[in-house]
Amino acid sequence: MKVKHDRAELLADKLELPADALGSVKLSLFGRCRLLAENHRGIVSYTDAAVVLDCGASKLNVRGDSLRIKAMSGKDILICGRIVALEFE
Amino acid sequence: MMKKLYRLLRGTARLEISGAEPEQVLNRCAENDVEFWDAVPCDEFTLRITVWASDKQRVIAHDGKNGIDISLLSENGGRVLRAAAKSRLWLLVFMAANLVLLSVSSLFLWSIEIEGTEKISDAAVLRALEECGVYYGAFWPEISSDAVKNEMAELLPEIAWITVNVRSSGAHILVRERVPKPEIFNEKTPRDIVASKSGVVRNMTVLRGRETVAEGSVVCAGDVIVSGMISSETGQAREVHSSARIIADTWYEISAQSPLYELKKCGTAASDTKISLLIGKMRINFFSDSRNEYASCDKINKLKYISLGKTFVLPVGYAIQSTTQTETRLEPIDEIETAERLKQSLRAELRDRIGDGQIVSEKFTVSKTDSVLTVTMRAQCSENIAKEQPYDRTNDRG
Repeated sequence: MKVKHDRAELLADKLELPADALGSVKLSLFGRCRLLAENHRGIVSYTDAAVVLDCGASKLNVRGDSLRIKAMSGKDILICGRIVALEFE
Repeated sequence: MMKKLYRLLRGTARLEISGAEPEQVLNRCAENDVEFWDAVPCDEFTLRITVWASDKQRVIAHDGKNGIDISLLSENGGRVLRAAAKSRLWLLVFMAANLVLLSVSSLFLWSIEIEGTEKISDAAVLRALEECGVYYGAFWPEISSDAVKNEMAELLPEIAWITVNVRSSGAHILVRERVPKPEIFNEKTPRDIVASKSGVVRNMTVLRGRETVAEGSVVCAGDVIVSGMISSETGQAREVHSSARIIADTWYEISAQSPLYELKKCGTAASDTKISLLIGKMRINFFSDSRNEYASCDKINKLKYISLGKTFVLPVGYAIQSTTQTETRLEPIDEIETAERLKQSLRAELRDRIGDGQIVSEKFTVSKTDSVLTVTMRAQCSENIAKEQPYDRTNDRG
């Protein structure tokens, strides 16, 4: 999976295309209270203090307080709450 | 609001997901396009989500798989609501009839508010409006604000302009009354300045005209202070429109009286309530005798139309008239309080009389006769006593 993802990013670089167009995760942070993650692969864990998202090659750990999943579809997820940190594992 | 209503009509189900990895259910929902919201983690192994009632079974289908338990906590709206409505058919019919009535009645005027009247009474404006087609129960889409404005200008010349703002079933009438034309000041007319009040002249500022008294002189009301006849270097006298400011010391003595005993109302236990039903302009009384039973009474009228806020007003309402019998008794007044009140009114009266002038000193005396309390105010004031008067040769001292 990791190789596949890297290839996608490499290919995007070569073709000068946006990485998210080839499947890389795209994060949009609105202030510190809203995070929109596109092209995710699902939720790994979900608590008040942390939401871990599967981003394919890596996992994104969203840490904060009173975190809530506001909306979710197969590819996009909107997380609301007081976001403290974003960490890739 | 609309979102809540939509959810209520479509129906929602609150589910509790518990197991080793409850997040997997969220992933399945997202993959299968099952919309969910209010996903709240209760603890590490429990989640609660809300889904559409129609998707409930698709989520519950995961119950028991991969060690996950899904239970239905509650279901609101939708099918539950429809089932409840079936057993309350008449309630639904009543609500629907009300909605229809509301939407129809909002095309008619059921409240008229008038703002901006000072000299003209609201009743006079309402009467004139009725002639223009703006009345209780009028079909407001037919009302033309411009036409009403023109007709009202003819009917009530005291009105400078009027606007009719209709919002749902309420009309807001904004009136501006005509300001009377000021008296035209003709500077060419010869005029004297006379004393409007008796006093001692302290300061004179003469802009035009000839002084006939000196500062420090005592003048009586009506005395000419500045004459409109002035001498000319060519030897011929000239008539001018005098202009001056004459500050003088004036003295006042004003009295106010109040009876030592006054009639006071005392309520008794006897009371009567009359209820009427209002349908449009029709009034249905639920009492037979409309006469007043008591010789002396307090009457409170309460009028209420059924409405949703101020937007939708139904032409159906009620009127409650509460009548309480009262007795009047002669009781002594609070003398200190009354004296203080009289002093205040005397001060107000003096201020009215002196206009821009100042009160230099004041003294009050309170006296009491058999049945009357008298407060007398003696005050010294400093004020402008100049008053214009048509030039009169007989008044000319020079």
